[in-house]
Amino acid sequence: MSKNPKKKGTLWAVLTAVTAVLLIISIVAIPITNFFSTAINVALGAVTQKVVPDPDAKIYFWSNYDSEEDLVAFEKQLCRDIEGEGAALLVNRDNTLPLPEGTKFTPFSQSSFNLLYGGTGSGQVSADDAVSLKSALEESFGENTVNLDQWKFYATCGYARVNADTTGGNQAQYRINEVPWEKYTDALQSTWSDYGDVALVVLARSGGEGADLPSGLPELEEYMTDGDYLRLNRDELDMFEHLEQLKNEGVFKKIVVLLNSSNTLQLDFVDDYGIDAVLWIGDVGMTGINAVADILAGKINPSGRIVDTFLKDNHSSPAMQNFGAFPYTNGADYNVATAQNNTDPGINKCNRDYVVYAEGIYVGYRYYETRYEDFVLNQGNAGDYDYDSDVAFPFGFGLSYTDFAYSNFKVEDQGQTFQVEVDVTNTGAVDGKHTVQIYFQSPYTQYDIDNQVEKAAVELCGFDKKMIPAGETEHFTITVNKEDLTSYDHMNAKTYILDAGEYYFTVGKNAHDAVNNILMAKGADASRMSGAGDASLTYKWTLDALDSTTYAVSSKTGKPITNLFENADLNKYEGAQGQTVTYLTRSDWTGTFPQTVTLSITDQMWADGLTHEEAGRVAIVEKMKSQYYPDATMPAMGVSGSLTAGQFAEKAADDPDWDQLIAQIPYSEMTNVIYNGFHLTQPVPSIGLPGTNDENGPQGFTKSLVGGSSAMAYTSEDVMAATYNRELIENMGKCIGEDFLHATDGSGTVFSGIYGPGANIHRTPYSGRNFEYYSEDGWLAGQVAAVEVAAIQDRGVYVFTKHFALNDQEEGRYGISTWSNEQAIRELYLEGFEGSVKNGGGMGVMSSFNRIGVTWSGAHHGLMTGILRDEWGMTGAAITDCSVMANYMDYRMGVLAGQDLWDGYSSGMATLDGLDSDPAIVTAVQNAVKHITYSISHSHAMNVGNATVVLVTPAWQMALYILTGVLAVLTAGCAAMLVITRRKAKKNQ
Amino acid sequence: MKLRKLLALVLAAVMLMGILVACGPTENTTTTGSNDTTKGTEAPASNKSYQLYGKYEEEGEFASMMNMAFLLDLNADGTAVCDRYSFGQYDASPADSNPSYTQSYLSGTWKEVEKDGVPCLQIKIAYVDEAGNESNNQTAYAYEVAGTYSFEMTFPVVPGMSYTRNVTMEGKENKTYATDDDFIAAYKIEFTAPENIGSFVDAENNGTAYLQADGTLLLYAGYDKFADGKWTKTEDAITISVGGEAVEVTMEGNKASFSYSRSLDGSNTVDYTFVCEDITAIAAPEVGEDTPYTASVDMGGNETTAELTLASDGTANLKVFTDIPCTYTQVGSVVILEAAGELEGYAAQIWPGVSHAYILNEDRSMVGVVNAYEAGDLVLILLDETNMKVCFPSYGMERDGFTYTLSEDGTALTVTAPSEEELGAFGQVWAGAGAEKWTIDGNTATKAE
Repeated sequence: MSKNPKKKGTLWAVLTAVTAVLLIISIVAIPITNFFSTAINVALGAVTQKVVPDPDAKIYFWSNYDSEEDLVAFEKQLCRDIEGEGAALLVNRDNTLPLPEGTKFTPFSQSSFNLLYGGTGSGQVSADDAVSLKSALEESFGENTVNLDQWKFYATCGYARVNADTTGGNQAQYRINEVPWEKYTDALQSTWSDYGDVALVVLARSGGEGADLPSGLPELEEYMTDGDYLRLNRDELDMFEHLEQLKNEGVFKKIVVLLNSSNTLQLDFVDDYGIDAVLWIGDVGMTGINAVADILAGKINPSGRIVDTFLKDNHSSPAMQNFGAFPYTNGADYNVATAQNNTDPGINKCNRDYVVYAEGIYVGYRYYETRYEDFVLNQGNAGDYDYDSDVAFPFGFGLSYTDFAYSNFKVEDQGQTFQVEVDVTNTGAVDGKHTVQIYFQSPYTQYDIDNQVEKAAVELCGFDKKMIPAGETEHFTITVNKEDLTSYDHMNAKTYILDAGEYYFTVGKNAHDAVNNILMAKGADASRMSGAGDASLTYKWTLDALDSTTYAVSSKTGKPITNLFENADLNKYEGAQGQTVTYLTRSDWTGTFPQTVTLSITDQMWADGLTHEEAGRVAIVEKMKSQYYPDATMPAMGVSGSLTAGQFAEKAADDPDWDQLIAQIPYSEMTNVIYNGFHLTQPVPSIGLPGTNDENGPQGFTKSLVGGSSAMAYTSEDVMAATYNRELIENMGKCIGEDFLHATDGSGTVFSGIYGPGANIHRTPYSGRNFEYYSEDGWLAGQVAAVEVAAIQDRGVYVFTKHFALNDQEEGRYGISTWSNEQAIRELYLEGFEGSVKNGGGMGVMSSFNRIGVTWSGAHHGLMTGILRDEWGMTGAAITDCSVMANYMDYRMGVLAGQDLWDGYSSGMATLDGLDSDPAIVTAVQNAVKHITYSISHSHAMNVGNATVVLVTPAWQMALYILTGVLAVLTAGCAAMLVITRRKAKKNQ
Repeated sequence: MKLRKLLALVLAAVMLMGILVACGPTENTTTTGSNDTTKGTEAPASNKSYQLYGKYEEEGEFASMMNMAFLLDLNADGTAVCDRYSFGQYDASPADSNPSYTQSYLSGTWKEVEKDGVPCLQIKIAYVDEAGNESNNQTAYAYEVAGTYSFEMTFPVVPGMSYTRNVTMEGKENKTYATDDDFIAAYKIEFTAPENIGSFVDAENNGTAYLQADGTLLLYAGYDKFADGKWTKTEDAITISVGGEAVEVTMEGNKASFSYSRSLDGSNTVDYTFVCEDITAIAAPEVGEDTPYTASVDMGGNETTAELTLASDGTANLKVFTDIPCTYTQVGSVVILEAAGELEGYAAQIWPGVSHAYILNEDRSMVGVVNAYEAGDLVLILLDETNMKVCFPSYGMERDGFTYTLSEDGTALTVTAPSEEELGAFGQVWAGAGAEKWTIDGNTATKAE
């Protein structure tokens, strides 16, 4: 050590300066890191609460499994069973399938090696442990059944399907990347004859969050036919041409195709290229491919029935005429912007695009079968409609290895329900499961024409599935709710009506079969029909007078039902200022077939919801307050009390005690829980409500979005629905719930909420997230969702059925204006959610990114309160879709509309701050917190009982505080030493 | 002395705390249902090691942050360590002190297995933060062809989130790059500014606006282009547009500057002020054959720029927000566009404010007109709903001031010429080749009988 005081002085001066700078940095870091604390906590998995459980806690939700191994084993078999009953056999020429044991396969396409197990995005599941096609075939057919050279070739050929990136991805990234035929060397080709029983072709198309599938991108024409991802590309066509030639030469005996996609390929090729069999398998999940192999081997008799209309021309549907994101023509006037992901510029505006559902109710089979009927009956200006050139396989289609015959079809009117009965005989030689599908037809009357009520030729209204041994007959009894026969009349009655006239019920093996039965009952000209019908399988029920009162009140809540979406209908929304849409009507098919709709922003549209200016948003908030909370008085808040959330675990939502509980919570705790719900809920210490973790579905528990792993990965939702087996769905729902029940993070915080299931519909085959949605049919979606949701919640996990609502595409998803009429909204797009909430008891939904008309869905009072609470009686919380940085998902508007929880952080968006003396806002905030508390208190998070919840300063934050303190001491110390040293130096001088 | 010891102790504590900052507790989510169903057959332990590497590149506003190379060492002890080199930062300094080089960005284990009968390398890697939390776990299989192993590696752009990208990794047994510095040397790149004949600079925000000879303007933030536009120059003034919108250029003597606000995420922006100290040193842009014609178009009250590119095969591309593929015919100095492909028949509907006919000027500007007709030696150009221009291309003569009416079915054109005085010498041309009544067929006008 130097004895030189001058040097010492310099040392202390340097140390003082250094520590002072560090101190300043750490002091500045405190508020900055506090601002982003939720994000940092989530990223670090930091502990933010300490839950001291109640030693006398009642355990509400026990696992049904003795061990995790038992659960895993059951789940693997369950996934297999779902695929086994969901996969649909579409083509089976000359009974190609089933194949005998020992069959030798040569797999074709890079996707045979690289199967599609699920979609991408938040619902992505890990395929690390998934079963390969080769492994599955060997299990079902024996060792050495798969051409290993071919398998090795695909493993190393360097060709692989490319998905769009999950974050920041776009349509142009999709690639099929099939192996060009010339890559198959002579040496490889010489192995084929040894494995020539079957050329097994896998055609896979991936879909994912954030990017719809390209349906005609010019820049992709190099890679795809017409830039269309769902058509076979040149390399695939080459492959089929060569395979047909090789089959003719005897190298291959059969060509079997597996359609491994939830986005239906354009099936204009299945009658060509010598294809012998086609099996649709969707996305197969972790073990589903085992069941596919079992179907090929005949160990499972296929019983899946497709849940979409499979087309020969995917662009033929009216919905495709307005699919995508269309920019308002004058958007630049308003300085609009859009974002596809929340990392994109423009995320706080999201007001550039629109889409118009000009097809009305005519989506999927509702279009194809209805126009077909009108063509056959020569009505409705159906034109020279050629059903067979559009439709490859109708909705509900699926073959079996046996045949089934119907008899004794009966329908009995039982008041509010119909009892439908039919005998089904297995006329073949093997046992098989069969789904009875009941369809109805509602009369299309002059009243309907006058009041723009549209009617589909058939609608699915009931189903059941049973195993029927060969040669035996099973009796099916199916209850159909009369309520399901209603139509929504948005012009005159402005509620649900039951038309006067003749109704038909029928049992059909698919939707087309059903229409043909009804056509025969109507005495249609068979020469104009495609396929045959059986009039004996129909029943006619007549209603003498139009009923516009019985269904004008909610069967769940008793509250009146009337129009709530006039602001989403361009023909009714006065802000559209003369911009109208011609909806497709069956009274004039040709004259009203949709064209691309062009729209401009009007000043009123801007003021009503498209605005991104704070002043504009404030004006909307004020309008909402006066409209929805006109008489609000300041509620009690932050009241001292001893009630805890644990005491409310079994309380009904309408129990008046809730008000006392919620009144205990101070404003800051309420906004904290509302604001910061990114994959979790914040603890609310004032009522002992623990924070929880929420995670993604819907194929199963998955943390992929936050970089984590997934538990059991089930099939895509369409395969689930295609089982038509409620028992399987119920078992799956319970197992998904079990996976949540078994999961905890490092701090012991439970996972008690699932972002799923998805209940939007397949409006077109090109939506990126079709794998997360059940079907093109909203009613079927509702039936499946009801069972799944009830089962998940049975295990103590609250659901957020997503994406509520009209979020049936990914392009422009953030803030796109979605325009539709109320009949279509209610009869198609809300039905899946209605099933989840009304019939399944679903406690929550996830609102969608898009706008309904010009209003963000979470701020649409009609949607979030009118439908969810008043009509359906939802009791728990509605969360937003990911709201990070998305300022247009305004907290004030949301809570006033009925939105409860935001899947994001308050950073830069905390618009509820400072409003703690606003009666309307505080009341809305309390409502939101009550809904959140209801969901959590009715979940397995309450297994802690009347716990004490203590907020914990996370370790990183504590470290920062300590560091700051230490630096302060250090700076002071160094400064003191500097002074002392200088004084000494002076003294010495 | 005691005080000094105490201070040393405190300093040590501070350093320790520094290490602890930003560390959270270990989070290991317990999930079920993901047990291996296709476990590879494990090969006997070997002392082999492999090294695989790959490069990820993408274009875009944040390319310099996204472009990375990875070096994956599969070590003989069974550990897998993957370094990341962000070569887009243009820093080729030694790895140990290179802020663009992250050692052990991903890590885990590897082993030789046989999966579905194919020998391969099973690689299990994840992002592991300082506290030991794992995220972005993946199990990948590298297969061998002719001694080279390859696989698709998913790497997190933002660790702990699904913001990921894929990179093809390939390599061989033993090390191709003996040291990290060798790897840097192999993947380093040098920044080359785009070709330019001058620039505007914002030194504070590290922004540069490059002026290219063909009139293109490129705006860069550091090494990344984030916007482009057009520029033109007269003797003493320079005009600039970015993204189709004109920006105001401020002049102070020969010094020119303009401001541009770059939106990063809709709510955060960077405000640039680009300055050129002496614009007289910059030559005016050349106009080349490939330079698109541009016009200001009215999109419902909003001015934006339409760009038209003509190809010699009769196809064209009109860009107004999006590309509209077209075919074109030329009538004198006017091109008449017809939407092609899927937009056939819809172009006018999609952009109602955009004309389908344009007068092309030599300076590559263009002016929207209603239509144009070949009329013998003349060209009749309908400028708007009333006014018309007549051109006599052989002599490069033209006159405004004509008015017209067009019949409802578009087949009969009635032209009213201006007074003789206004016509001047052009009156002789009009008297000889013009007429009041014309019959229209497509884009041909014939004198009506």
